[in-house]
Amino acid sequence: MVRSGHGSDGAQGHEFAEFVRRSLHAAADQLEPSPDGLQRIRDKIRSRPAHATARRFWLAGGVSAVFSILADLALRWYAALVRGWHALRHGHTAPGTHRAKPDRPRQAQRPRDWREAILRPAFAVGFALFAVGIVLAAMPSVRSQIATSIGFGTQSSTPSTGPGNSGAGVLGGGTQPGTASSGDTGPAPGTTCPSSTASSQAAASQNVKKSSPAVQSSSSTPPAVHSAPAVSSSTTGTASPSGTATVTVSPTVTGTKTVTKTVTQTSTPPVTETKQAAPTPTGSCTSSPAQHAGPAVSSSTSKAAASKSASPSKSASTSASPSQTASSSSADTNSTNQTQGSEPADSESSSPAAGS
Amino acid sequence: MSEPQHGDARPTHVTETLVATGAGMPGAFVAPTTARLGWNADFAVTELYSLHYRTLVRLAALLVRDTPTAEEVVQDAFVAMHDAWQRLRDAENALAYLRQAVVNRSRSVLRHRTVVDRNLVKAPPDMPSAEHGAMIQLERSAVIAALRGLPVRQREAIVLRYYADLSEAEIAAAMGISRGAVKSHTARGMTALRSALERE
Repeated sequence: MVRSGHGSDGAQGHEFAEFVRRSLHAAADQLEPSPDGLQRIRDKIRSRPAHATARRFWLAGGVSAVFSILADLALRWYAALVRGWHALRHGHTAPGTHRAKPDRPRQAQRPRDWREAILRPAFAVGFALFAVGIVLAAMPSVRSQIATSIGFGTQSSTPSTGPGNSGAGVLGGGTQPGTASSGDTGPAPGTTCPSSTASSQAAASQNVKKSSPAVQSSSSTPPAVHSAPAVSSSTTGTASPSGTATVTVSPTVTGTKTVTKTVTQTSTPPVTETKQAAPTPTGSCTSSPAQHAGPAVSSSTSKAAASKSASPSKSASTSASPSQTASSSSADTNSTNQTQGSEPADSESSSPAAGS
Repeated sequence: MSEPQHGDARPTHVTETLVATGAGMPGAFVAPTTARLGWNADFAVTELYSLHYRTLVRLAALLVRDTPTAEEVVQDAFVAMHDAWQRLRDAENALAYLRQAVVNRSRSVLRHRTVVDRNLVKAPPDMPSAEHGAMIQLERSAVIAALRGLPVRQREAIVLRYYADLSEAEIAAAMGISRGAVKSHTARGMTALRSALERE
């Protein structure tokens, strides 16, 4: 058998291998792929997220339904077990007598077990999740509308993660690299809104241009794509020159627990920066210098104020990724601040949005 | 990695740096050693596209023998890589993933093409196919023509070895076979290729 791919005779085999290598390179290097390859890839990726998100929602709904069914079965089985055990016990205590019979009605009247009590709520929650998944999966336009109505679309992608996470936005296009730098270095608290934004955008555009021209064209993509989680928090208008994010801030915020938590997840920069910033609770652009420090702005203020200022971001983030909001329901403001410092905003937060 | 010598036009971005140093040239299948962690999926797609798209398309063209299909294959591989980025998280892994995806999808294309050809009613001889023009360039080479006659696995092994300049381990990973099988396929393919060229 011939070994090692060089043919039976060493020298000639080597020459032949070189000949093949040269021939392959000469033939293949004549081929030039069409220049719109990146754009096509973007289009394909853009057309997929709807399916991916739909799949995710279907999966979540299906899993919740299966879990509720399993919970039901487990509870029934447990109830039957307890009932059998009780019957067995009574059978042992009074063998051969019929005194157990009068006890039966008393057992039937005893209050229901708490496990049985949560059965229906569990079903309801499962069904609600399933229904929400179906609705959101069936109507991606609703998601985009929600995102745009919140002002999510006005912001170009903001720093999602640390270094290089710029996301040269296959989908989102524009701004990414610059945002990465801003996320890393973190604009000085003292800097004003416009200047920092301008610098980051300038860098972004520069990078984007050089890396891939097509990126710019994709900048018109739906807002959800930009999704960058941080969006919300930096909200504060750092990312968006228009400052629309700030506008949305004050009005709606009810400051629920969910809100604060979401902020935590989305925000990248550490808490310490925010504390230094010490801004005013109002999220207007005037206070932006402090807010530039990041989403943490909210944390620097008093609890109440913080929760309020955070609320806008909340709304944005909730629209971006429903799963996050669901998970966040249990946390309170303090804990969120702590997590903010420890937990870097990972790309995952951006991915779902990118998926949408 | 060496800094580019462009003075004023010094690139400030990793992509520009890599491109400036020639990392995107044909045959540069090994990802340059740069900090690549922390990329997100979109950024990774853009970067890897600028570095490896052309080479991957050529590799796929050698496997599927037509450029538009090769581009489709590579684009689909990039889309799959984008979806799987959460799992990959690194350019090295992503490149290996891309290579494997290209090889697998090329194999699927060939399989599909075989089935289609089997059930296809033959077209009139004077009616060139759509990919005819793109294939002409490849067909000019005798080696490429001989390569067409090889079994798929042998062709893949030879292309990955002598065009992509991959090691046996990398070829094994891309083809999803063992290193011994890679050696075997390569050796048999080269023997068959030589005999085919000698016959001509």
